[in-house]
Amino acid sequence: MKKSLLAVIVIFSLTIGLVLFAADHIDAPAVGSLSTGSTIADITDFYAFESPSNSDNYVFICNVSGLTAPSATADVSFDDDVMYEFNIDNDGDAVEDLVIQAIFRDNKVFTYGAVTPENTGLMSNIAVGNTKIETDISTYGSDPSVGSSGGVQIFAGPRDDPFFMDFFRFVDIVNGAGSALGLSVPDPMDGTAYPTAFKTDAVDTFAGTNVLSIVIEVPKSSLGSSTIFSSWVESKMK
Amino acid sequence: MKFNNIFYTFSMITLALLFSCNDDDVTIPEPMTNPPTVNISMNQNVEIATTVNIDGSATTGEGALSYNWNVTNPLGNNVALSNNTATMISFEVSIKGDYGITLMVTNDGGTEMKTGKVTVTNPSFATIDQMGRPAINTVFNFFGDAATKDGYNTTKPDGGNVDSELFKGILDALQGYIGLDPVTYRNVLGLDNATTASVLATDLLMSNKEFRTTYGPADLTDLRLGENLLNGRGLNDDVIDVTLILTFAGDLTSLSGLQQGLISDNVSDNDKTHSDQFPYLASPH
Repeated sequence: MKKSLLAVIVIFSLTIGLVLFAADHIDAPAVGSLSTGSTIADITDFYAFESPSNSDNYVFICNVSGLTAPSATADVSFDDDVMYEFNIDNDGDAVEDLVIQAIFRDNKVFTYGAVTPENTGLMSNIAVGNTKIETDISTYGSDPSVGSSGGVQIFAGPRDDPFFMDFFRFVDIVNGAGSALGLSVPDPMDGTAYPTAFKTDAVDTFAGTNVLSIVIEVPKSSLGSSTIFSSWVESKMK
Repeated sequence: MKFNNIFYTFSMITLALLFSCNDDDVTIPEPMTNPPTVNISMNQNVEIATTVNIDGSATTGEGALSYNWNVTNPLGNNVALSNNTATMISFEVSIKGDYGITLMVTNDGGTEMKTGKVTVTNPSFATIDQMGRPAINTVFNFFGDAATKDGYNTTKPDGGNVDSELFKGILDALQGYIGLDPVTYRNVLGLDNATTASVLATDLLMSNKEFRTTYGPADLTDLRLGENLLNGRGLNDDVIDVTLILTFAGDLTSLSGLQQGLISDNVSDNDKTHSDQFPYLASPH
């Protein structure tokens, strides 16, 4: 059924000839395309925000496997070979000083961190920290399973995709700029002219679709002593 | 006396036999118990952070068997076991290297020992996708080919994920397309395209712990970078509108008709409402 949702988009995209999505849904062929769908390694969005329920805490969210149709959601699962790593830089050099890792085994998710990693950069090992937090991977249609210890809470499982955007209108507009530059771009969607404005009756391309989410809440104090920090997330394969 | 002599002679023969023969032949009062034969089975190669189960139940022996396990970690320290006298033990491995396993089993016949080792590895994971700010690969590599998009996903922010000239070129093109002059363009923060591109080319999300998270404020007349603008990213933040405003709105004064049509995609909310309780995201459709 995910295929049927994708099929609609594929047909639509054939008319516009596009194979990429926003925010970063299906943003590159190695992790997902319209014909093959988004993979479990395809990061669709990254969020980092002060906890709405406790201002002493910070929340990190990594969403993957975008544009999953409701009827296909129960069949999408995390991969024991794919780790998600949240990186925290405290000193402004864009090198991670701390990491929070989410790893999957036997239908459970476990996390370590925030902890100083053994190595920085593109290759990571499991950063075994003082506290391992574990919980079941939540299943479609069930209440969220939350693991918690020492002020840290973790969740992994299917959720609504929180991203919202009229993506196809955006694409049509930007293709106009590409055409003006002489690039080979798809024809205008209405067959006559590229639009130069968004629609007042805009459509949220991501409405009604699901993602798999990893949500981790930690005390701000565990993220280092600096007031300002930077963060980014990676999917990493064994 | 004759009887006495016979008895005496018999006794002497018995004594002689006693002293000349092996003890076993004569003196063991009960059947002998053999010491146990110890067997352990386990996975000898495991990944770090897993639970190792070691099974000693294939040990055989007569009578009651008592087990005594000892496990040392790669640093040579004893590993605490929840029950070191059970037939099976399990423990979590948290250090890379060899764990030494010893099982001693005792019965009336004695104690036998078996040793083994569990080798713990820490696997390597290589980046296949990365993301800091929203929509960077999608928007700024919009005209890039497959290799460009895939390549961007396996970069790290240290030193910049991308040559900022590439991003500046996209900003210039989009603005030129709607009749703005990219050379004199300054965004709402007063930044020219080269500066904006150089910031975006290092793809990470900045957060200030002391201010409530907003990617962009509702009130565009009160912008404080790193406080209420580009401070983390919350679930309700309209990141696309913020990106469009930075790209097309200039300093937000005297907007042309074209600019007005491009600074919002007119989708301002998610289709489901988020919770204020962990894990915050709405249940799936």
